[in-house]
Amino acid sequence: MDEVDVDASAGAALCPSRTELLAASEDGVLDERHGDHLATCATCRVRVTELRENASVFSALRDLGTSGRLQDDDEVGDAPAGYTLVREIHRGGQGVVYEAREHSPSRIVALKVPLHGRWVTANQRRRFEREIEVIAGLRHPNIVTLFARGTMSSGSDFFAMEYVEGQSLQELLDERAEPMPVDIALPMFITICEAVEYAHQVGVIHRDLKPSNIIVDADDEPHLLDFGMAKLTDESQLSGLTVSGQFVGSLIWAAPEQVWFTKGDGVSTRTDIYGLGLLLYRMVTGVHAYPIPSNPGQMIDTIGKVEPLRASRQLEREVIPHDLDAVLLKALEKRPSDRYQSVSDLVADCRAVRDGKDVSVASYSGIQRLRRSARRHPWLFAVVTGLLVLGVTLTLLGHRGRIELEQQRRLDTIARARDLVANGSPYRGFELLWNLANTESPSASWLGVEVSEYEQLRLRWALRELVGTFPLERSVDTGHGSALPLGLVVHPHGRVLLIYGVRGDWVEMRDVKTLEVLGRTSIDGASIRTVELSPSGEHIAIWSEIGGDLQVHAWDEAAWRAGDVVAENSLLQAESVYDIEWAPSGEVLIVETSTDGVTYLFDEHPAPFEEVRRVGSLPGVLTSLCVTETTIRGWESYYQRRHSLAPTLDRATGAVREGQARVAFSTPDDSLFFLTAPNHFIMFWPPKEGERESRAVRVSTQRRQARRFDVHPDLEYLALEMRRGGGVVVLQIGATEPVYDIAFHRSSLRGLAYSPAGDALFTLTADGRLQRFATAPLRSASRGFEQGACYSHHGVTYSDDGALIAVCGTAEEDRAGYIGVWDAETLRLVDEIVVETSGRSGVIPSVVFDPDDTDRLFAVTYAGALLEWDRDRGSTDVLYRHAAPLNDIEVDPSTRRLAMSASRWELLVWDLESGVLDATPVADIDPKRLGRMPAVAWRPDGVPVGVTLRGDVVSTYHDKVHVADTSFRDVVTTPDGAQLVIASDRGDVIVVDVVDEWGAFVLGQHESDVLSVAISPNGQLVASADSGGTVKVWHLASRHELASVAVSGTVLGMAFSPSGRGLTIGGSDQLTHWDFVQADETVNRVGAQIAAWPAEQRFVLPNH
Amino acid sequence: MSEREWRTTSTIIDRLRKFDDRTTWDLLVDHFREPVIRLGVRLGLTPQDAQDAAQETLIVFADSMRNGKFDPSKGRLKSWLFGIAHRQAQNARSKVMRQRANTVALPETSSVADLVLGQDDPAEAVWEEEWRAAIYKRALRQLQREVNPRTYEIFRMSVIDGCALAEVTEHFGVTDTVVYNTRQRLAQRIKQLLEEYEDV
Repeated sequence: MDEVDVDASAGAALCPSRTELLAASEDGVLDERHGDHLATCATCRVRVTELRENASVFSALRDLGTSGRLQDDDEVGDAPAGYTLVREIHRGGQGVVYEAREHSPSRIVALKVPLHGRWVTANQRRRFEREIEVIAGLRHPNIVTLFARGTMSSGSDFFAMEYVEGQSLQELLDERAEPMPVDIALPMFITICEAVEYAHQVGVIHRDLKPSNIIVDADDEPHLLDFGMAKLTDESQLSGLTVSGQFVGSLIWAAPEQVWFTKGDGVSTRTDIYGLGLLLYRMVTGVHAYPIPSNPGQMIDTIGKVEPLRASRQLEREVIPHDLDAVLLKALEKRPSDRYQSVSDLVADCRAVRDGKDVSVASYSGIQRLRRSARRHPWLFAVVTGLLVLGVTLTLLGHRGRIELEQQRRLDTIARARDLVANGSPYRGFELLWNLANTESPSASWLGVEVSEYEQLRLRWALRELVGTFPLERSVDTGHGSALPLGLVVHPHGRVLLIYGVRGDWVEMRDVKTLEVLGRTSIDGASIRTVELSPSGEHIAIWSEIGGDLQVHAWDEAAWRAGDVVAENSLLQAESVYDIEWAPSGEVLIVETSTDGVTYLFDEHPAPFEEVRRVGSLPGVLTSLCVTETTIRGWESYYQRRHSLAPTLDRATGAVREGQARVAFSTPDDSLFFLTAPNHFIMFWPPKEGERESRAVRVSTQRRQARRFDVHPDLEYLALEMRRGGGVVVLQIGATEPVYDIAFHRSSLRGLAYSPAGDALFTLTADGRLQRFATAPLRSASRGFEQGACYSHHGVTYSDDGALIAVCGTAEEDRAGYIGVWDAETLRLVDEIVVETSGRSGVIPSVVFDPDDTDRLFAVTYAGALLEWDRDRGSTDVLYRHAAPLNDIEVDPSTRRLAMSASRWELLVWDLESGVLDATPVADIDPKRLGRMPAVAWRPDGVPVGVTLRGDVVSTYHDKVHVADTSFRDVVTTPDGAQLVIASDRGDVIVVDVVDEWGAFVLGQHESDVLSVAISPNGQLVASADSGGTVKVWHLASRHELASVAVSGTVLGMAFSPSGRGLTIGGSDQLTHWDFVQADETVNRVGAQIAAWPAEQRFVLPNH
Repeated sequence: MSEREWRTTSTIIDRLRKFDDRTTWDLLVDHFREPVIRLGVRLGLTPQDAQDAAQETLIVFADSMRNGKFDPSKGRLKSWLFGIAHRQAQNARSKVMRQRANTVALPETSSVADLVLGQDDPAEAVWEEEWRAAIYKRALRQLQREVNPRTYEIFRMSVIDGCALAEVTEHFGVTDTVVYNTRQRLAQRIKQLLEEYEDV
C-alpha cells in the first residue's frame, strides 16, 4: 500500500510518495528526480536519509555476496569483482579452479586462482602468468578460451576461461568396463591431436598431456585444458621455470626426455607426440603403456628403458589393428628423433587406420628391432651394442661441427652455471649445480634419480671449482682436542699466533708458518673467555670467567718463548666484565661491565690504561654493534646512533628483535653492517644522510648459522664459520653472494682468523686441529727442463710411478729421432738417445715406458718402426716394422700390450709378453683414402681405440663410428673408461661417451686446431693444446675452463703426472712443466688447487 | 542463551568468565572463529594452518577471559580478540617459514620493508573487513530466523544476488512496491542487528 506523506508546509502536495522515492533511490536517480524537492522539504529529506542508509547496507551485502563471504562453507577464497563463485571444481598444486558465475556478460566460467592467493612464490607467480600468456594466445574450438584475467583486491592474480561442462577423459575411461573401441577412440583422438597441432603451430608445447587434462563435453567433443606446464617453443631453455631441474608435469605421462638425463634432445613438440601416444594407448587398451611402479625411481627407469607391449597384445580379442600397433609404437619411441616428427604425421596415420588405408609407418629397421630387443632383453645388450654401432652415423648439428647429443637441459644448466660464475654471480651458479647434484633437493629425490656417488662427487667438485676454494697449506694436531680449544688470535705483527682453551692451563704461542709451538703459558684457575691482542700488538687482554676478570698485560714475546709469561700484576683489572673490544685504532680498550652498567674506555697511550671516560651504557652494546672508528670518535653520539639504527636493524631483520641475529661486522664508516642469523646473512646498508630508505639483502645459508667471523685486513672479505660441520664461508663484502665455501671440517670451529697480511686464514677446530689456508693466488712459475738434444717435442709420457718423464721427437741435427728421460722432480735430464734415420720418417712421435721397468721404453717412428730402448743395456732394437707410418703408441699396463695407430686406419696391438702382433688391422680400409690414424688410447676394459683424420673412432671390437666431420688429432680415455676425450681440427675438444651409445658433446673450443689432449689421473682435469700455442685446462665434470695459457710454439704433446700435481707440455720449441703446487700465476688457482690437494681431501664434501 | 540475550559486552564477559558456560562459549566460537580463520588466511596461512591458529587464538582468548585479563575500559573486546588472533597468525606463519628450507636468495636489492613479510600487511584493516563480514553474516542468519522464507528470498535475490527488479517480481509474482518495501524493512532490521553485534 503506498503511503503518501503530506507535509503541511509549503509544497507538501508535491511530496513524492514513498514508493516514488524508493524507486528513485533504487534506480540511483534520487537527486536527479527529486533533488529540487528535497532541497526544500525537510520531511522528505529525513525519509531519504533512511533510504540512503539502507542503500549502503545493500551495497555492503552485495559486495559480500559476490565475494562469497556470505556462504556457509569452509571455503575462504575470494572471488574477483564481477564474479560469484559457485563451487570448487579442482584444487591442485598449480591453483584452484572454480565454477563461477560472471555477472556481465552473464555466463558460467571456470575461474582459476593461484593456490595461495597473493602469497605465491615468485616461481608460482611466473608459472601462473605463463599459463595465462599461453592460453591467451590460443584460439581453437577444442582448447578452452581465455575470457579475462586480472588481479583481485586481495592481490592475487586470476583468470577466467571457458567452462566446459562434461567429464574429464580420465573419468570417462575409468568408468568404462572395457577399453574404448577404436572407431570411437580414433575420431576423438584425432580431434585432440588437431588441438595440439594448432598449439604447436603457434609455438606452444603442452608438456602435460594426459586424460585428466581433457574434458569431453556432452557432444563427445574433447577440450584441451591446463596449460600450466606449457612451454613456448621459442623461449630459451634456460627460462626460470625450467632451469632449476624441477620436473614439471605428471611422471607417468612423461616422455623420456622429460625425466631421463642422458637421453634425447630435450623437450620439444615431439614430447607432446609421446604424450599423445600414451593417451591413445590408454584409450584403446584400457591400460597404461607400461606397468606403473609405485616408486618414482623405478618409474623413471621404466620410462627410459621399458618398451611398451604392442597394444594389440594387451587385449584378448584382436580388436586393435596391427597398423595402429605400429602407429602407437612409433609415437612411443624413446628417442624423439625416432617418433613422428609432427602431430600432422601422426594424425595422417591415424586417419589412415580409421579409413583402412596404408599407414606410413613401415616395419622397423633391423637396427630398431635390435635396439628394442636389447632393451627388453638386457642379456643381448652386449651383442646388440656392437650391432647397433654397425653403420650408425651420427648427424652433425649446428655450426662448426658442433655435436649436441647430450641431454640438453643438463648441458644448459651447467653452461648457465658457468655463465653466472663468469658474470659475477657464483652463488647462483653454485645453486644451479647444487640442485642438479644434490639428492636432497626435492627435484632429484622426487625424480628418484639415483645420482651415483661418483656423479655426486663430480658435480660437487664442479661446485667447488666454480665457487673457488682455498688450498690447505698446513694442518697440525695441537693435541688439545680434549682440552676444549676455545680460540685463536693472530699477533698483529703476523709472525705468531695464540691458541687457548677454556681451561686456562694452556695458552700457546705458535709459528704462523709451521704452526709449531713456540711457547706456552698457563693461567692458573682461570676459565678463559677470550684472549685479545691490541691492534698495536703491545698488549694482551685475557678475560676469564672467574669473577668476570679482565687482565691486561704487556706483550712480551721472549717471555712467551721462555714460558715465563704470566705477570703477577696486570696493568688493568676489571670485574663483572660483560664484553671487551679493542678499538680499531688500537688506542682504546672498551670494557663493558654488567654491575653498574658502565662502559669504560681505556687509553693505551701515553699512560697505559688510564681511564679515559666513563659513559653510561646498556650492557650488550658491544655485542650488538661492532666498535668502529666512528663510534669511538663520536662517542657522545654513539648511543644516539645506536638508538637510531637499532629500530632500522630490527625492522630489517626481525630476528634481531628476537635476539637471534648478531651484527658480525660493520665497515669503519658504519655504511654497511653484516648480520648473521639462523638460516641467513643479512647485509644491511643503513639510510644515508637525508635518506629514508635503507637497503638490505638476505642470503640464505641453507639452515646453517654463521657463528664466528673475521674480516680480511683489506676489508674486502668476511670469513664466517658456519655451525654444524665447521664450514667456513667467505663473502666478498658488498657482493650479495658467498664467494667461497671451504666447508671441510668434521668438527666445528673454535677459532677463525685472517693473518694480518691477509694471505692466510687460520682455523682451530673443536677437536684440536690447527690449519692454515692460503688465501692469496698461488705464486711461482712454470719450470723449464734441463735442455736435452731434442729439437721438437712430439710426445710426452710419465712413468707409472711418476718419477720419470719421457719426451720424444726430433733431435737437433738432421731431424733424427730423439727420446729423452728426465727426472720428474728436478727436471734434470737423466738419459737420452738419438735414433739416426734419414728424412721425415725419422721423427719419433710417441713413446711409453714399460709398465714394469722404467729402464725400458717403447717408441714408434714415422718410418713404421716399433723401437725398444733398454737404458740399462744402452741399446735400441726394432721389434717390428710396419708398412705404413706409425703415429702413436700407448701401453695397457694390466695386459702389457702396446697399441699403435698407423696410417691407413690401422690399429695394431703388440703383446709384449709374446712379442707378436695380436690383432689385425681393423676393417673398412679404403685404400684410396689412406687416412691417417693419428692417435690411440686404451680403454680400461682392455679395448684399444683409435681416432682418424676423418672424424671416426675405431676399435678392434667394432667398426668405426663416425663422430664428426672433422679431423681428429689425439685421444685419451677417462680413467673409468666411460668417455673418450678427442682433440679435433676446428678447435673442438670433443668428449664421446662410449657407454651411452656414443653420445658426445663439445667440452670446449680453441681458436685453432687442437692437436693434443691429456687427462689427469683422477679424470678431473683435461688439458688441450692447439696449433697456435694455447693450452687450456678444463674441469671435465663441470666443463669449466680453468685456464688458458699461451705458450711458445706449437704444442704437440702433453701429459699429466700420475700424482696430478703437474702437467708437462712439449712443443715445437719448448718443453715446460707446470707444477700445480706452486702454480704459475697464469694458471687458474682453482684448477691448480684440485691437483694439489691430497687425494683423500679431493672428495671432502661439505658436512651440512 | 539466545542471540537476543547476547547484547552487552559486560554480559558476555560475565558469562565467558564462567568457563563452564558452554552455551556462551559455543556461541563465541561460532561467532568469532570464522573471522579469525579468515584473518589467518589473508595473512598468508593455508586454511588448515589458519584453523589451527584460530584454535590457539580462542584458547588464549578463553584463558585470558578466565583470568580476567580483559578490561573493557581499555578497549573493545573485538580489538583485543584481534590482538590475540594477529599474534597467533604471525606465530603460525613464522613457524611455517622456519620449516621451509628456503634456499633461494632474495633479489639483489630490496627495500627493508620487503624483507620482513608482514611488515606492510594491513592486518588491522583485514580484521575490520573480516569482522564486518562476520557480523553481517550473523545478522543475515538472525534475519532468516525472524522472517518468513519467501520474504527472505526476495531480499536475498534482490540485494545479495543483485538480480534485476523485473526478474525478482516475475519470479515471485509480486509488484515492485512489495520488493522495495521488503528490502527497506529488512535493511532496517539488519542495521539494528549490526549495531548490536558491532558493540562487542
